[in-house]
Amino acid sequence: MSIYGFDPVATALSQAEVLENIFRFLPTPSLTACCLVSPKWTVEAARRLEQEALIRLDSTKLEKYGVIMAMKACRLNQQTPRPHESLSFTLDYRGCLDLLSVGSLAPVMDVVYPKIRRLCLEILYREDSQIKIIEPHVVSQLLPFFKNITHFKLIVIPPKTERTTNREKTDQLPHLGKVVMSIPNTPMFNFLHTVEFELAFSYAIGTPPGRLKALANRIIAMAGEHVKLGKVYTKFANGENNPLLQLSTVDNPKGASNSRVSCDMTTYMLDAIGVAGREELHEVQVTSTMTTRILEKGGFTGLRKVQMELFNSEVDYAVRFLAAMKDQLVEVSVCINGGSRKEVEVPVMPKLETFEIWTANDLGGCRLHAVKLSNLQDAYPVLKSIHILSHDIHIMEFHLNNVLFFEESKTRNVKTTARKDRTSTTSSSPFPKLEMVVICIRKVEKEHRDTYNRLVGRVKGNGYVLDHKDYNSEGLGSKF
Amino acid sequence: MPFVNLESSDGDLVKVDVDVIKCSVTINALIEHLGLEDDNEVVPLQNVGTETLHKVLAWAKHHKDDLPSVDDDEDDPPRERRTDITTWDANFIKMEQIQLFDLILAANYLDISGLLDLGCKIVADMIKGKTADEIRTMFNIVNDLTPQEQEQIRKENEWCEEK
Repeated sequence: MSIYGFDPVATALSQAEVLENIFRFLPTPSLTACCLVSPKWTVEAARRLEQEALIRLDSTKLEKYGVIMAMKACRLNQQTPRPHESLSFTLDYRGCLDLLSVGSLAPVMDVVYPKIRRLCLEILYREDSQIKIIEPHVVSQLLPFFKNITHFKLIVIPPKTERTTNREKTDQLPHLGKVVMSIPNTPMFNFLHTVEFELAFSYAIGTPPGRLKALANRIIAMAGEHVKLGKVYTKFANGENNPLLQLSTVDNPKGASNSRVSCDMTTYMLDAIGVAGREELHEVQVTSTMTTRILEKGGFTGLRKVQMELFNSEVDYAVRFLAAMKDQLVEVSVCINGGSRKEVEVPVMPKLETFEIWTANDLGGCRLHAVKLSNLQDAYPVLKSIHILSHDIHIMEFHLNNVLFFEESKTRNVKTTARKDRTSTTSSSPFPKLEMVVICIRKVEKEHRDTYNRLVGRVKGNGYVLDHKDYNSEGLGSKF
Repeated sequence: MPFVNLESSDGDLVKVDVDVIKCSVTINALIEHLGLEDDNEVVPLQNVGTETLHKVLAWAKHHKDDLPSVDDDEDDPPRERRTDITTWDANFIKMEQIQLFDLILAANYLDISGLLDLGCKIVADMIKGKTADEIRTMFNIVNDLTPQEQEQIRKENEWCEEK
């Protein structure tokens, strides 16, 4: 007790300003201890902890509770984190529940997150959590905080026991679809340009659960109504992206849509988009089995672009598909993974403008001579560019021989005609409008430099513009 | 007006150079608002005792020529957390706990941020590394929190302890 009749210690330590100042000099562990001293200290120490959380907003990935604390701190302090355009939140069950309690923060978020454009929300499911409580409205309540975002990505990661290829197991995951499917019903999506969903569980190829089919339906509906691009894909447990299911819908200015569907969920996706959707489908990325399903389903009158990724033994699928679609395809990309077999000829395609052939992998150094273009006169009357991508100079040479030069006698003929009159429609060349040859090779070894120069000379000697791009070692997958 | 008369809560008058006490936002405001122009005018400080006032003035005199603190930039956290203490300040602040908190209260009342920070740093150093029980014992604080409330607080602060 002081000489003035009061206790300055108690007085000072009950004043918010003093406590606030003291806590500014304390590390986090001491602050958590202070929270337990008295109710007054709890308030002030917690406030300081929230400020610490706000500081942590500078990191791209926030700790799950840090998100909530940071939000509260924003409300309390009206402070603005350093400008950044993307945030990634990782929330678990507890974090999602906490979100329910921050609804009143919505107006503040406009102030504290004025520059956020991209938001990634990662929801972790834990085996012991009551998953049903994580309803879509949790996400729905969060999104209004970020009115300016144009790209929203929702990642749903169930516990390991549910990442299974077992049909019975996966059928027990209604919540996964529920979270995603209900989002489109919220008007807040009007301001979004892009919505991406990752469902981080794997299915056995060809045995997708019925739930996913319904999910595909909903996402398609959503994409048409609210967003310009929607994408769904699975992610294996090892973290590797796998486009088992991928759908993109891009609105064109007239309001119609071009759709792109890929891989082994094709049947379900095609059912979901219906006859009208199939007519509108503009582009497909396919595996071998998908080509069969698409052909069985029929009605793809709007299809113009196809990207195929096949094993060498599956080339017949590609040829059959191209033959069926030969009168409408404008762009064709074929990626063949290794192997060796005799040549297969690409059908005559009157509308083909771009042809691309990849060899994605070097499987034991096997040489590819799987695909070649038809050498019939005017087989590809509007073909403007050929892209050849390989990791090996010899495979590159094979491709050039197969798709461009054919046997030497024809080559000489083509060379003369193409160089002198490339605009002529009555040329004897299979591709009278061909202008550019793009070759992408990963690395030209020193001892292969002469071979490379010879190939370049042949391309240029035929009057074609040569463009050489860097080989993308990630292969075709990165293109999708 | 180079001098101003400060009246402590004990009724004692202390004549002080305005330049010395300019670090006090409160006194500056009083001088300005009261329109004090005469050296004989008195500024009453009802919350500061004579002994504490002399300590405040000693600190203010030593730091008279310090650069004024810059206004907080909105991009920066308010009032940078600096934990370094000069030798002079360290010697100055050596005092009984009651005197220390008297000084903190005075600094807070007079709005002298440098002095308030100094006192709070010392208190923070006293708190660092101690448990809640030890802190309560040190400052003679009664525990008003129920075990349930404490458990709830611990749960809410779990995120701080996680890596």
